[in-house]
Amino acid sequence: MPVMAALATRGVAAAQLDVSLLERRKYSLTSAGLTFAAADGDVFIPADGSVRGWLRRLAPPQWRREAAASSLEGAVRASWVALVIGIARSCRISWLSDIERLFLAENKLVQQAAAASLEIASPVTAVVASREQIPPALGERFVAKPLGPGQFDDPQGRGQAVFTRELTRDARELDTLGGAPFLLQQLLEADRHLRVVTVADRFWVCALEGQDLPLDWRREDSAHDAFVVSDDHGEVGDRALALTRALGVGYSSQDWVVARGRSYFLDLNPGGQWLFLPDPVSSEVTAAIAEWLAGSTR
Amino acid sequence: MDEQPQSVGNLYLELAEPAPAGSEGGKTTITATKETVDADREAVLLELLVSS
Repeated sequence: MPVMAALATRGVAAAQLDVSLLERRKYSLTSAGLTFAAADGDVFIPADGSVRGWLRRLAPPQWRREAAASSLEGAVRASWVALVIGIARSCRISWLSDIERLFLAENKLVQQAAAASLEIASPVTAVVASREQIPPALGERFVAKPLGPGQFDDPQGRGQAVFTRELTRDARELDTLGGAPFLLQQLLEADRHLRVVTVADRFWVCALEGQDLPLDWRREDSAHDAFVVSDDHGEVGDRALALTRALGVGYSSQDWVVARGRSYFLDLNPGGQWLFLPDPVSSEVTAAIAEWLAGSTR
Repeated sequence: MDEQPQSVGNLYLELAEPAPAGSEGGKTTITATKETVDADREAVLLELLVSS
């Protein structure tokens, strides 16, 4: 992990921990702190407020995914999760993003509300139970995107992805609107896609020209390598930072678009990617996270 | 508002497509493709990176 490497070059002791590691190693959580066995010896995390941390990711999807909530396996899974959440809250670790805020900030409706409160432009958005409830403001063509996870496994265990999709008001698919809440959003013809990464009070903006790209640029393999560092959208960076303050997250990876000369916030991922972005942005983000982690809590 | 009969389908089933190759879940990769298909928002597991 690049952040771990960056911490090592600074001579900072660091450790990674997750549920799947804990369930394979000896560990001990007491009022003094957490001790667990790592590959190169025991790690002790004192509960004295001296430690900083980053909640990078919340869910490797393969971990105990077969466990039904009401089953014995579900109870076992829930107990492991409770342990790690307890560690996150009881060891007095200073988090780049607090766990409670992290959960909330992942909700796109919460993000839209935060943007609205800051008067940040975002596409007209609705979540409705049936076709006739779709607001006229969305027009005849709009986009649908999941409010929940953007992926799932089919009954054969094959991964399925749900990309942002353009639909027309009379689309057959909308007959099923009531089956799962989806976001319906105003269709914006992007002149430019922006990926904004924030760490604490710093931001970086990279741009991707929108011509000839699909609605969801992630569909286009070449797009991943086509972002360029941009100094033209400082005002977007400032608003992106305002959003992170409103949502209470210290790290974010945000998607914005520029359409007809105006910038729109699309969504925010409090654990999103940055390594695909060009240097120096990629390395500066890595360094900024490491610097924050290496900083003093007092 | 009127009650609505429970839908027999949903947009997940209507809009899903096979996940892109290489979009292994839960791993940090150098592309953004997985960001769309991983499970960041299924909040069940924490990866803690701590320093002191």
